Amino acid sequence: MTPLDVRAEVERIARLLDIEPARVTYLESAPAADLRKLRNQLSDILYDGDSASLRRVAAGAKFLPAPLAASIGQHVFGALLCARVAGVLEVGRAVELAQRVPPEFLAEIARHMDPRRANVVIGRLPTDRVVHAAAALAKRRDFVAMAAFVEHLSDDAILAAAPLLDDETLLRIAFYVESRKRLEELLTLLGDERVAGMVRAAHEHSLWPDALELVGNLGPKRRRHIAALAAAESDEVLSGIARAATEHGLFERLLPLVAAMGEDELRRFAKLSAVQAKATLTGIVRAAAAQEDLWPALVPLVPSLPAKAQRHVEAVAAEIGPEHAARLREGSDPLEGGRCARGQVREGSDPLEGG
Amino acid sequence: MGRDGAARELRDALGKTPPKGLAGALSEEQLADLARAVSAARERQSAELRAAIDGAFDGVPRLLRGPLRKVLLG
Repeated sequence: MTPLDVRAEVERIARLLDIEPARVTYLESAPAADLRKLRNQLSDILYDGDSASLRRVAAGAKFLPAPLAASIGQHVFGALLCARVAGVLEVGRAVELAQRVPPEFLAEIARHMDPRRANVVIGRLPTDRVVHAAAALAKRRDFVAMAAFVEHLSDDAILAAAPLLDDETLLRIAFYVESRKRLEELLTLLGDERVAGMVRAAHEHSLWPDALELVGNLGPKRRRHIAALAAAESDEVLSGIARAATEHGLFERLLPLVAAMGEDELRRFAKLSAVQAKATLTGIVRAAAAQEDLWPALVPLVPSLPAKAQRHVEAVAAEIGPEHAARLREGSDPLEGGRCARGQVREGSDPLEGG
Repeated sequence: MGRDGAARELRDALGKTPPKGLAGALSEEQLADLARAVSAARERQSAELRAAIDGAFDGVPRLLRGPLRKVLLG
């Protein structure tokens, strides 16, 4: 499966080109860093081309009182022209005008605006404007734009807008937040109740493949916290994670989450029939054997499994190689050569950093 | 056209040399398709902008449109 950061870049590029992402799925074969460079080149070529004419319009707008300029913008210029003029206006003036148009029109302007510039303007808008614009953008399901704004909005604005957005919307926005630091800050701001809601939304809307990768990209501490929140959910939700990993072959994304579970959480996870399914266990063992930094995630899971499932795990490990079966019996980390207790992880190869 | 031709077409559409990893990852057809998508986006955006400006001038008295257009758009 294509990594989330690559797919997110393809969607951002498609949005700039005003085409469906499916039209350019071939871009998924390029590295994310190169796609990011391409996106910046596209922004330059698409938004800097007509700047001389737009600067003259902006210069003219400067002499009009803000209420009149905003009214002309809305009723005469339309969203596209307003967006392009706003892109060359002095930021303070753009913010002043943005405060005087209805939220729906502001959301429409944001859709057409140079994203590099829109973020700066939106970031300086008063909270009540942001809240209404966020609701309008959510109605359009413009998650790419909303995620870009998250990086620039104040914490107060995010806290004020969050209650208007459902858990699925928050999760989909989180998929597109570029900065891991800001993503972690966002999750902290939202609090456990909303993050647990996002976990349920991943289950209800079949978003586990992306959600697992999202969790995999977080720091170890945050990942442990989310693993605990997920483990506190119903068996159905937990089973959904295992089923999604099996269906999409995402064991290398499942294992870091398993590694982040506490002992009680792991015992409960191991009791689920979706986890004990042969296809799931086979995939887990093969992924752990193939990527050795994931092996420590497998070791503590095995004793929590029923005897029959343990035998299957041992058989799969033996099939891969006798050394893996031996390591499993010893409960050892193959790279460490000794027993691997939970929380005792080799420096530089934390399974929580894998995925 | 060949791979080099497709890469040149993309470079012309972007106005810059495309990222190295991109040119290496895409086939000749994909590079050409991306170049077409970029050119189409540029043309569409210019056309939409022109239409928006024309629409804005519709609200101005006919006699003033020419001079105003000249002042604002050059």
